[in-house]
Amino acid sequence: MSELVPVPALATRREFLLTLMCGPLLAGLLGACSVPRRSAAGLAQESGWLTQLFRDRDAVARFGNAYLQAHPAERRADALSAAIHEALLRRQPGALDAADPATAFRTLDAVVRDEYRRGRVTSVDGWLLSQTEARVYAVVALQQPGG
Amino acid sequence: MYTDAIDLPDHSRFDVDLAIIGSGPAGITLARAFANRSTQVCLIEAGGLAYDARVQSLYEGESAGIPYPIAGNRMRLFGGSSNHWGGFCRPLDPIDFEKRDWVPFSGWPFGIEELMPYYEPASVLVEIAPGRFNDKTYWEHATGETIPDPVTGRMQLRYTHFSPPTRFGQRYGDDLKRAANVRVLYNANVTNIASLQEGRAVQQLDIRTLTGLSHSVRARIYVLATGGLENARTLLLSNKSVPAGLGNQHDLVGRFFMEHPHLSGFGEIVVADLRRRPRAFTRRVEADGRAATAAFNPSEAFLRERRLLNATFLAGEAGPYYGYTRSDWAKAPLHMDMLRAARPFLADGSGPVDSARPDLLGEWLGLGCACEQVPNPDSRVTLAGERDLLGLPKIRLDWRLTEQDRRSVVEHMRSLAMEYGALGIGRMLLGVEDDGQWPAEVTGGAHHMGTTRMHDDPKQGVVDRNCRVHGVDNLYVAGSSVFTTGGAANPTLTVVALALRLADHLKTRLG
Ligand SMILES: Cc1cc2nc3c(=O)[nH]c(=O)nc-3n(C[C@H](O)[C@H](O)[C@H](O)COP(=O)(O)OP(=O)(O)OC[C@H]3O[C@@H](n4cnc5c(N)ncnc54)[C@H](O)[C@@H]3O)c2cc1C
Repeated sequence: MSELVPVPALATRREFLLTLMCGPLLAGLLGACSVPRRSAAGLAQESGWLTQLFRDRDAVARFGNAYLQAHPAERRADALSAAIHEALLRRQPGALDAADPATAFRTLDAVVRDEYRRGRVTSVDGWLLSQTEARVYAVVALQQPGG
Repeated sequence: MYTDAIDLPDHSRFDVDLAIIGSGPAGITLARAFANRSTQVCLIEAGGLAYDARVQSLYEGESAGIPYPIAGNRMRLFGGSSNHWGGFCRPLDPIDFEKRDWVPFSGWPFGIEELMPYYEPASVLVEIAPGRFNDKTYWEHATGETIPDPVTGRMQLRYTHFSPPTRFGQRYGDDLKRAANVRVLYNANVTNIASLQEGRAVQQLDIRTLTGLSHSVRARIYVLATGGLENARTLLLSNKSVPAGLGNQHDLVGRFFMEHPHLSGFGEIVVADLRRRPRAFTRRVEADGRAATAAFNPSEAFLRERRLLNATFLAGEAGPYYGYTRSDWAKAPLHMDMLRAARPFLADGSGPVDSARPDLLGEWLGLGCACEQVPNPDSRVTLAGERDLLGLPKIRLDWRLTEQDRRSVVEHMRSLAMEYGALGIGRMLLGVEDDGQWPAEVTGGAHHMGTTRMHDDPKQGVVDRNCRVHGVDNLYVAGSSVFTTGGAANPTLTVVALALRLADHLKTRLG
């Protein structure tokens, strides 16, 4: 288990959104992400933005790998991303247009909550997770080195 | 007045109007309802005014089914098990009284409306009044926090209240002592309910002390209030004129024993941003001198739709996680990884969830559940071969649970996980495999129900809607043994409400 990296004091939602967008200063502070340049088509063709959501990707990968082990047929990042994007677009047409991960995350969060509400859940390592949430973790796992 | 049966001359006899056997919450409530009236009352208690291990040993018995601490789960002294109850109080739910076609043997002879007038005075007696069991607005106002409504349609919030907890003997003993018409006869074990006319009327109570004395009490009306297990045993022991036991003409006495199966460690919830979970979800919150906590219960609509049994879930804060690995708890790494993974869904921003504790990762909640079990004739109390210090057969309990009970609770656990997820508060780890097995950790809650169940049909119940033993003109039963089904609420508030209702009935009958 890795030690927790000291958390930078980014208390507000706005700062979080900035982090998601990975401004150079914050990116440096987090020592983390390098955001791929986004096409005019927004995020729809990308899965990198999903990975950017998480700081501790080892932890995410743990659950993503557990999900993939139980669902080996889903072991394809592009197909998983497509399924996730589809879920987002079903909820909010245009959710991925903005090239803005923060907006997309808001829709993702709403999708995840709604899946819990409707019982669209799956068991991962004993945890009951929303279907889309589990797939997001799986995408992150596949994009980890060796994933 | 108080009378120690040990100080009486051998073969003493008392003649009264109303004899109540047992001084737990049921017996004391009943006796108190008659205090300072013209009715002469004798409240007969097996134990003394303080705990005595020899007396308590009379409660020992044989557990033949799911392991059960038969003596440890009740107390034989003045005040009964209220001497160590936890004080959790909540009325039964309306659906608990209904005949549900998916719950065999369900259906009380009346609906909750029959008990409603008694729940409020019962709340006064257990010192939680006025009850605010469903009043979210009240608790929001009291705590200054928004309490989110469940959103899955599967669950609803109810507020379990905490009695101080009221020790009935200490709290109401003086009322009885002062009442000229009430005699509390203690150290007096009722060993036989002697009946006439092949059990159609009770003639007297035979009483023995552990010092070898024999006494008797005669009354116009008798009420058996010795607790949910002992009520059945006492009827079965009263077999001199009816070999199967008094009131047992249809072989129902002792059957249908129900508990609220309690499962601890069936799951845990992790919460990252503590501001997202109101304190009432995990703690006792106080207002106007009363304390309560929010309980998750399945909604009535969900119970009907999925044909499930009732349940109650409570959560408590088990411990925080900081940004370093805890080694004292095997599940810590798993919990902490989930807190890290699900963090974007569980907290706003990427900064600390608590600025006063910058390295706080979140906390985990321990969960407890108490579930309804289906009334089951094979789950039962009988008499054991072994005898107690008075030479009487000990109790034998064969507590059983069914697959229907298990499937129901597993589904509700999933509902709880969904609710916390849908509210964006936490993620739940389920520790119960859906493998057809009850987990070994299943215990009871010291809630002993159903062994003298209430039903209008003598072939389906031991007592009628007035709690009178079918076929016995002057014998009544008080306590949770009369519950037809157990619901998922702790029983004592309902026990007290039923005792108050019985008092009203007996006042009319005794004139
Ligand atoms: C550890 C524990 C925690 C609990 N927590 C809760 C809780 O939080 N909430 C809740 O609702 N309930 C709780 N309960 C259950 C609660 O205590 C009972 O529901 C309640 O005490 C039942 O009241 P009663 O009067 O029917 O029976 P009891 O309290 O059992 O009283 C029966 C009385 O009869 C006497 N007696 C027995 N046999 C004879 C005899 N042959 N002759 C004369 N007298 C006899 C006994 O000595 C006793 O005093 C708890 C119980 C225990 C043990």
